[in-house]
Amino acid sequence: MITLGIDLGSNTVKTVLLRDGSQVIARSLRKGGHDMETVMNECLEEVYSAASGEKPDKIVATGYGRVSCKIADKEISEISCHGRGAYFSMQGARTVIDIGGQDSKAISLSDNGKVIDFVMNDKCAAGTGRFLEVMAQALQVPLVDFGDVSLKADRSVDISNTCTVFAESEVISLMARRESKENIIAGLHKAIAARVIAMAKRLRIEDEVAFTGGVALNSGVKRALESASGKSIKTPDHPQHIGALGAALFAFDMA
Amino acid sequence: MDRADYIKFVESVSRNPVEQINSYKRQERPVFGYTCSYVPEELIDAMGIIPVRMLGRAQTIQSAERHFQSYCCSQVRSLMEEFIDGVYSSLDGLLFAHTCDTMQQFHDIYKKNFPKAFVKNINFPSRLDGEIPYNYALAETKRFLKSVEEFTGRPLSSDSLKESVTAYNKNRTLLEKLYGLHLKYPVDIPSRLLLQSVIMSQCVDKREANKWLEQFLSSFDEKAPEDSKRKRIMLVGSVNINEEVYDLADEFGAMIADDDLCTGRRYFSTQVSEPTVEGVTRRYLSRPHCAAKHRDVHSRERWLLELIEKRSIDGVIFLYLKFCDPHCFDYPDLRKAIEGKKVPTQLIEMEQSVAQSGQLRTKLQAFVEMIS
Amino acid sequence: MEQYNQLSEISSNERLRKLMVGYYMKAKFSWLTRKKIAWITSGGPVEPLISMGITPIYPENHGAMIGARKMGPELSDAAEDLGYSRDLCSYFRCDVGSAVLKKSPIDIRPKFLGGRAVFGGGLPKPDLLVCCNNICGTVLKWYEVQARFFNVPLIIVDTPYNYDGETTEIIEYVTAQFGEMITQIEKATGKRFSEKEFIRVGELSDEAVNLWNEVLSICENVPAPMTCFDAFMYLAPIVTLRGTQEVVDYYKQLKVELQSLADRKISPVPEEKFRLVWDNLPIWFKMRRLSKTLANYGAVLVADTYTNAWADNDISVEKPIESMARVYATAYLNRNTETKIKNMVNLMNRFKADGFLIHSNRSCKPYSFGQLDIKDEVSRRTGKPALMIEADMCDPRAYSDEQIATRIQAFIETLKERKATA
Repeated sequence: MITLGIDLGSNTVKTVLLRDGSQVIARSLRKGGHDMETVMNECLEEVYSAASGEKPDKIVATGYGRVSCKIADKEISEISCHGRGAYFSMQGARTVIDIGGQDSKAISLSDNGKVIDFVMNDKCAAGTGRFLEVMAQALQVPLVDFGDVSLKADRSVDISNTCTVFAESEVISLMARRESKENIIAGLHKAIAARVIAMAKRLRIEDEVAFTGGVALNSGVKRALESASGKSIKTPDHPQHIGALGAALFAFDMA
Repeated sequence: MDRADYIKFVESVSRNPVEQINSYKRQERPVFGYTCSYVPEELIDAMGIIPVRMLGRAQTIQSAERHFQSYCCSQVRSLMEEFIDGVYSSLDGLLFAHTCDTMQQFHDIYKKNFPKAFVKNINFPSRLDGEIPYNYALAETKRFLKSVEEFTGRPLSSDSLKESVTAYNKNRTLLEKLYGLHLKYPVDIPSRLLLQSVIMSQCVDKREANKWLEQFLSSFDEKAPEDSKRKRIMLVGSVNINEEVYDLADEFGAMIADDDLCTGRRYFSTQVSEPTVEGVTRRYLSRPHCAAKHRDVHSRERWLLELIEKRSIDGVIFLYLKFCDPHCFDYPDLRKAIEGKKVPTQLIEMEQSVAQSGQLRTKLQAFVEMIS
Repeated sequence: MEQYNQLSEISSNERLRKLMVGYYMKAKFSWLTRKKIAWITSGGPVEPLISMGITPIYPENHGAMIGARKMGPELSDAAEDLGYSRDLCSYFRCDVGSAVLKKSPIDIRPKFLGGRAVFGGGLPKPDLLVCCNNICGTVLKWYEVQARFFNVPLIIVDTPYNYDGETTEIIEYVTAQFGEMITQIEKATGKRFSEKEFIRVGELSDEAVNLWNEVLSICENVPAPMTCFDAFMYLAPIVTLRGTQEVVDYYKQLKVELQSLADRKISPVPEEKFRLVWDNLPIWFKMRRLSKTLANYGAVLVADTYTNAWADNDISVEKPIESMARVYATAYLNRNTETKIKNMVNLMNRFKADGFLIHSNRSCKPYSFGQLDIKDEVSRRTGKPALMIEADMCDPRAYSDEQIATRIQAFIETLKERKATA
């Protein structure tokens, strides 16, 4: 039995092809554009060819674009999918922190992996991947390098503004004062972590924390989250695919 | 009239009462807007004036930016925008009631910018406990009544007050019945009809509103209840005009089963037991209260837990307007109390009339998935 | 013009420090003296409490200290962790955060205890809460939260906003509540109320308020011998300790010292060029920086609506309870916007101001909503320009130094321009 999970996020499309609800056959990830459907089809071709043409029995869609996904048998919210996927990838995970392009969320799981509570950021971009994207432009440092660059910081500067617009001007004035980019980036990681942990604290943060979403690839944010929460945080393999994986698992339940 | 007519009527009036106001004006009947459900409508109605609830529906805020800062709630900003745009220019007057800090300032700012308008305010007490607040509320209601009599030029008659109280009590009974039937017929009575029927009742002459409601409700007599295991969600908050929350709950196989909203149950709970000014005053003091008022430090918690139990609620959504201080103050303790009864909750902050992003959908869907 | 050095010229500053430390020290050790503690709102009726030997504690004053010590974000975070929105009043958030974390700028470590902290930081736990909503409706919700947290009685004095001025209905209502309040305090604390003692305290309170008014009025002098940044500090005793002899004595000394500076035409800035009026609470965490910025331009805040809110009192001997009801029911922030406009125009004229600064304070909605209309109207009536600064009294997280500095500079440039063409 083969099932497919599609996560149509705000920036990227992710798919996971799963065999028997246990073994990942293939994954794909592509930058989304205006034409979400074309990008999705490219993703599908990629996973299908990796699975030597095997087609899924059931498909579940999640993410912002889930409603308009015509090929899906069902759409399920990204909260449930991230919870499910994280619990599958990291047995025993009780708290999931997901930072995506446009939003961030924290999910509480019961000891058998069921979602028992969740919070999402408000409409503000602070605490989302977008915050770092804006800062990457201001600093002229590619976003993918943020994690490594922040390792070289000798301290993390305080970014006092949480508002993305204000924080951007703060960053610009820090640069004008010749503060090192390394220290600024470390400071930005601290700022985003403070925001996300403040949100997550509305739930209980348990000891087993999984960090998922695109921003989870940034080791600097992970460290900042650890120091803000006082917990050791694990990033499961392929953190960007956790939502799609959860969707594929739900598809398996249906089949 | 069949059900479709009712559905069409409440939808159009609740989304935009201006046409309704204009039709009253064509009949040369005076119409007053009112900004808060602490305005004792019965008294206004008894003076031959139709009270119409003001709910901010402006989509974008431009002119109101010059009067209210960005950290003001959207209910007030939207309403100010509409007043400046002249949306409600056919009203004969506007009535305020004291509730929160923002409404208080809104009264002053409105008066300053519309010096020629007929504006009155009932300075309702913030305390609702005991006889001292009652004595004040009664004296203040009488003072308010006198000030509105400036408009009609004649004192309130006790006969017309009796008639108005009867119509208002009947409206409250009918809305209560609607809420009850909705639990039995969640498909034929979609959740959004709760919201739309309450707002309709707030905007239409009560006798006319009652006629519509009666006919609609009578179509359910002797009909077998729908077989439903829908999860029951309750909304808690101040004012709300957003229908999407109701529709999403239905779409995901749950239902909005009850609420503690100013545009919902708080409006029609508690009857006037005696058709006098005293009786009306008592009703406004004893009804389930807004977060801006004080009965005792646990009164809102008790009321919500009672409602949750009575209606077998599966989950509670705190549906708050952003920057609504009184409700935000209550949130952590209420949440603790409700979750202590093993009822999950979720907080959704919204802005009046602002199109919701996909996030509302995700939150609602995830919440239904979670309580299912 | 001469510039003075704060420390050498105002010797009463040391007295102020001792007064405030002594106050919090006594409060902290109230368990030794078996004194009861009541938390009370800043505009609340403190005279009955003092007359009954109860120590009043002001969480708002504590909030100001937290802001000035830049502890706002840390303590707010603790409140936000509990689910309190960041859009709520920052005094409230800091108060809750301080109660939860037991952290505070008041960290008393007496020598005889070997420098150990007395019961951790923070305000001493209340036996009673007294909430008067003549400053805002927010305090009602705040005190409800604290009443649940500490599980102590809450006394509310509901003072309806003066939409249509002072009405007999309001005065009768507040008078009735004061009667009720006294009975409630007696019940909660076991202390007896004495009218004679109450009148004595009321008179001291009146005297302090009158002195405070005179202190503020000294700034009518050109140049002004102090700025509002000083007044914000000198305000603490009138808020926390009015009704006591020591406050009267303190303000007497302060008044003499300031008058002497005024007579000698000594100013806190090198050269007083622009006289400005301030509206709303101080931005506690930026006092020094803003004061320096303005001083560099020769701009002096000569008056403000905030400290003047405590400069009005009149408890009469004949009808003590009713006159107290009138005082508290008609407090500055409880008066309608038209009255606030008149008051600001009056301040502008009295203090010969060149313009005014309006602090749009995210934490204080009743004080801030209406400011946009007030700004236009006061400018129209006085012909003077205004600048609005968006900030917060305790929370620096929505504040941008660069943005504010640019605005102030631009505003000063307009003032210069006006002076040049005048």
